[in-house]
Amino acid sequence: MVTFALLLVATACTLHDKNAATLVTVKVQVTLPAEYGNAAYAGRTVTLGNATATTDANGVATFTGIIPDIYTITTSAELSGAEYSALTGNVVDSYQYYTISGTLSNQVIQNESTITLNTLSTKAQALLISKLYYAGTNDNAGKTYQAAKYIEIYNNSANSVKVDSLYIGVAETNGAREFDPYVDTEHIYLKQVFQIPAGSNKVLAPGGSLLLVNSATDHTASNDMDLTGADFEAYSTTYATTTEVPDLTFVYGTGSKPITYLTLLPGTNNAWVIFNYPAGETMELVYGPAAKDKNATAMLNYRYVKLPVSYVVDAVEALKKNNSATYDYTTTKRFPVAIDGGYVTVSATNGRSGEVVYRTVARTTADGRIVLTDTNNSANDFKVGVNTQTAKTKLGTVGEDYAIVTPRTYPQ
Amino acid sequence: MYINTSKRLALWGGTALALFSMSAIANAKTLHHTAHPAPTHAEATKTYDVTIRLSERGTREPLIMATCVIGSINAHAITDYNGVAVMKNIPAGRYTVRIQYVGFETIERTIQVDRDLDMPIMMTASTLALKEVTVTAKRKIGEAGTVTTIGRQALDHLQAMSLADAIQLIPGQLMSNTDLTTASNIQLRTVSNNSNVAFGTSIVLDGVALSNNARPMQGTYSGTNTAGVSTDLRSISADNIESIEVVRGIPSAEYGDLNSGLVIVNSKVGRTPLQVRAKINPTTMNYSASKGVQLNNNGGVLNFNADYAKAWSDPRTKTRSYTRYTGGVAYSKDITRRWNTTTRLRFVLSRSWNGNDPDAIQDGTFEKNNAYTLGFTHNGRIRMNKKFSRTLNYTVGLNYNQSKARRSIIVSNASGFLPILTALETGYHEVPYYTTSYSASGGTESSPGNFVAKVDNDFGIKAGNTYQGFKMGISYNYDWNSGKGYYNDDDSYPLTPNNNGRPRPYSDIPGIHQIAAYVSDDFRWDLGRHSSLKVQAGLRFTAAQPWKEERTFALSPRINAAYKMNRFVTWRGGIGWNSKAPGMAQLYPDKKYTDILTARHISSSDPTTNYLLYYTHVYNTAYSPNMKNATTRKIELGVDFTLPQGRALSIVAYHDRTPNGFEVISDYTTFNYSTFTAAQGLNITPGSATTVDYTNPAGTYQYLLSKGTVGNTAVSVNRGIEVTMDLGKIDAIKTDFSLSGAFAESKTYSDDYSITSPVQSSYAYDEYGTRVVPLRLVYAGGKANSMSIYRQFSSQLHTTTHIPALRMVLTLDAQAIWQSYSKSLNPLRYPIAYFTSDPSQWTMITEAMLADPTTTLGGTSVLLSDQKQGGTENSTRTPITWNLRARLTKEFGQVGGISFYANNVLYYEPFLSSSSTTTLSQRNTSSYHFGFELFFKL
Repeated sequence: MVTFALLLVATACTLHDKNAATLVTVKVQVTLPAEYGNAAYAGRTVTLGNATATTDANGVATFTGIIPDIYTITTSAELSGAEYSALTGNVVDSYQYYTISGTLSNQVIQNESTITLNTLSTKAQALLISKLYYAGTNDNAGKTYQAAKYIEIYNNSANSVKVDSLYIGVAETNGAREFDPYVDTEHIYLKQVFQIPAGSNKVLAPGGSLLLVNSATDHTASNDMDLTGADFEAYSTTYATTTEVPDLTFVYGTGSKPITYLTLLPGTNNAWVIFNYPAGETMELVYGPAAKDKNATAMLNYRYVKLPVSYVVDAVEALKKNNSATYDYTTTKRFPVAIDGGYVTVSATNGRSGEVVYRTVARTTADGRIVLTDTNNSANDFKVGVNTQTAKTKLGTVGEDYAIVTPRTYPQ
Repeated sequence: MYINTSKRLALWGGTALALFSMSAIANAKTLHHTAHPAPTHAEATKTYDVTIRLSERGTREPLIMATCVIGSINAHAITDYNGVAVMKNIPAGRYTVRIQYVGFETIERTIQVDRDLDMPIMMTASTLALKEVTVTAKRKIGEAGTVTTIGRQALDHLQAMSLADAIQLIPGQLMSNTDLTTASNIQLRTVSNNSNVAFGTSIVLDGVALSNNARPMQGTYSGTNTAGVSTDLRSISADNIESIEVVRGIPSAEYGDLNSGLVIVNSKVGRTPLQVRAKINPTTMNYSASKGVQLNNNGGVLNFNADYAKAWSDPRTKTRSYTRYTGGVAYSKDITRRWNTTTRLRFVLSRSWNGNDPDAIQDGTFEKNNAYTLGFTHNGRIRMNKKFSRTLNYTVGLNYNQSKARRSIIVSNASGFLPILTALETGYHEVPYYTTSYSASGGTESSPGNFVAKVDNDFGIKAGNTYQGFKMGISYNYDWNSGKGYYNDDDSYPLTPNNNGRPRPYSDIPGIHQIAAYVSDDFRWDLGRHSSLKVQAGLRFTAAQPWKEERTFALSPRINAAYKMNRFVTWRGGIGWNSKAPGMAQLYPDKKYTDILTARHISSSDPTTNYLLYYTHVYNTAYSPNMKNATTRKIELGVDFTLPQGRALSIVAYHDRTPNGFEVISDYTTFNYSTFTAAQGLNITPGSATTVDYTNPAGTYQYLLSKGTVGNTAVSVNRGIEVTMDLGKIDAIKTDFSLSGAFAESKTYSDDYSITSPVQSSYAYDEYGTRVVPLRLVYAGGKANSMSIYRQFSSQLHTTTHIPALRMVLTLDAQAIWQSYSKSLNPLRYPIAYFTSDPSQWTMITEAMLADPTTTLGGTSVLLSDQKQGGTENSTRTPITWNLRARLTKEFGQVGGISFYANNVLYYEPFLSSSSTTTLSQRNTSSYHFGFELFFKL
């Protein structure tokens, strides 16, 4: 590697010596992919070596005073869903963003020239489920404490995202899987659906997060988190839901008396999804196979929202820990690999360990914004940490250092 | 015929109890008349005196306080200081006299009374050196009903530590290990765990039934609660028991307040050497000492016993323990020659404890129960020797128990929001809530007491070849509870903060009075030398709470007959009704508390405004209305074959049906409540406490409430066949073989309607999530709709190798469970009716309404085709399992001996799957057990 770098420097020096006095002006014409039609890549930054220039209305970046040499020319920009729509005329939802990027490597510049930089446009989801705290903890008396569980949603894009009407759902959690995601790869089946209230005008800034809880109170007396700053609460009479924090809209819950709080269960599977659903379309409810032969009351416990995977914004599947070395987790997986290629699990079989599954940091941008890993595979994207010191000591694995996780902070 | 019968009735019309004469006896007598058109009149029969002189074989010392009985005419006598018993005025005839004495082999001798008899009889001390020993339970021969006796030798050989252990010797019961750490009860002839069967089993200790009537419950009535079952058998130590009689069939009318079984326990009375016993097994130890002393100058016999037992659930993790101290004194005294008395005092102190293993982290939680029982019984027998009053028996008993259960727990608070519901009155109550878990302590103090007085008059009549033993008596029973009941040490930190945790003082519950009267007639007709007919007929009248609204009455007739055809074959059969009156738990259920959230305001920034309002509805039933006794009809039919060389075969088929067992019934009432919200009804002012404007509710709703009263709708049908076969002895190997087997089927179902809320596609809720259902659907009950069926076929092969020369007995028992099957019938059914605001006004649902998807019920749209229940049928057959047990007892001369036992001696714990799953599960687990006993007779 070092040898290669030295070689490059040596080559550059040779060229520099030859044409020492001739500085040139280079124009880079950035062309957008076909879906953008005639739209221009205007007002974006293009990098040539160490130099940068902004494109004009025609998508041309002009570099002056360039020493002829071999350069790498790159450009990259994030378009919010709205900007993309404006450029392409395609209608998209607001949770998607588009990255336009192009690179020309080893471009030899000897004289004034116009170079064409072709770009690619890739679609990405702005919103991610960044943390899932479903394990709960033991309080100071050693009794289970489950009130401080939360879901955190993160804006992983460079643009602000309005999260109104975003849906949050959880897959069915019956002991035996109702629907095999390796058979029906096109749908997922949800037992509970919530929605960020339409009209709440909640906007997530780049790097901003949304904290969804069951009880936005201070749980530190019971060895857990202070959640008074949560954004939304799922209203229930089971938990102390406060008047200050707005309630999530309860959309659907299975069962004869649906549970209205977020069912983050410590000793089972937690397959959560955030999704977008076309306004005006009714969600389809289907009976699971286990409903067969059940009486009417029981059947209500086996009715799920059938959601096409195309509506999914992000999904994470946390499976119940199984201590058997040969256990096949794919027998309990609820989500098709297309939306979550893997799974994550906390170390305690029955939870109560204070463990949080959290998304790792992919990189930090120049302006300090944290970009979280998103490969659509929770096995790669997530790690397990704890959010209370007490819980950490209880886990008690010598030499194992758990990251301390609290809402809205991201262990590097 | 009628006139004839009336004439005969005049015979015993002299007694007040003739009032209770009934057809069964009359019929029995009529039968006698028909067969003997010219009967010998009773008055004409000559009578003689029978004198028995009893002494011990070898020492020739007189035996005092031995019981001599001629059963067929109810003649009793007890040997005096000189070992002499005189039975006066015995009508001429052939009788069997039975002589029993503690520590000696019982003697049964046939006598021909045709002159005054004077019989010197020698009794032999029970030892393994005798030719015959009885180390298994034996069916009582000559009884019309099915009675099994367990003698002292069998208890010794079993190493029983409490009465609970002895029950496994009964045919149909399975082998079990000694476990003193869990409460146990007796359930005879049922395969499913049925608390009504346990509650209906009477345990009579020295003539006094150990009452379980004064054990109320806190909270909703539940059959699984110990209050609803029988007396805890652990508290009766086995070492002071002389004999146990278990009546599975139809018991005599003398015993009442039972409907499923009768266990008669007799403790030791009489002069005995000092006996010291030490039993030990991996979880339990038990030491006991007993002695019977003869006081000088006809001062009577004094018996002492002391017993200590300590048990741990598992020696490795000591999370559960039980300690028992028992002490008793019995004093037998002949006040006059004709008046024999036995007075007993019994004291039991038991402690059970549940808590953390001493090696585990101590968090201060435990559960313990200290209970003491003080029992006093006085039994007297006065020989009147009158024609219509040969013996007068009386019993006075007083039992007092004080049980103090203490509990210290940490009440978990997983949701961080725990309303503390403690209101005792109907109305709106502001309720505090806790956000963390907390420590709570409290307990239950129950002090049930029982007083019994019973008088019984016995006499016998011989007429020709017929013998009649009449028994008639009255009894009074009072059960009360003076305990503090269920309580919290601090009511603001209750043990159960939800609506099931309200204190209940047991002393507020009315005591239960029971009066009973009975007559019974043991009739025997000698048809020939080896042929006879025995009929035992009886009638019992019981009344509970006779002066109160909630009174229950029962008239229970019964008849057992045995026809001995010849030396070899005896046919027997019987039918009888037995009834068990409801106890406090059933008659006086706890108040039903319903708490509904009606206002809630929680602010994280301004906690002074936090407000939680509940509406508490207290449904107070003074008593369960329309209660009846649980009555079981028992039918038995059997045949006994007696073969030479000790071989015998006995087959009995039984059918017990209880149509009115106790359970919580569906009985509804309504109340209204209102809700208040921040928008309407609540006055929320920042910085000050929230108030409520009751005149401005956000909504008012009707609530349909199940009252939680107890009724008589639990039905159980138990039937089966029991076979016992004595295969005789093979002398060459000194081994006796016997086989017992039982096929039993239990069916349980409820005759009550099942009432539920309808299933709707969308539900209405009040402002705080309580579902608002304006109606209830009614489904038919009964066996056609939901029934559980259990079947079990088990057999035990017993081999007893007895070598008198070595004073040693070895028994090997092989048990096989050939079939263990359970099935639940649950066919598809639809509602038959519904009710709305008036639970007593049911509207029938017709077929047409079921088919019509637009049906509305009382204005509520309910898709009736969706309201199906059942439609499933599950059955499980567990695989055949077997188990082997070995027991050995060896005596060392006269001074003592050792015993050893091992249960599941081959350590057979296979993994086998049942019919309903392919999962292998381990069978016979924790059945491997062993123990050792050392005993001395000094």
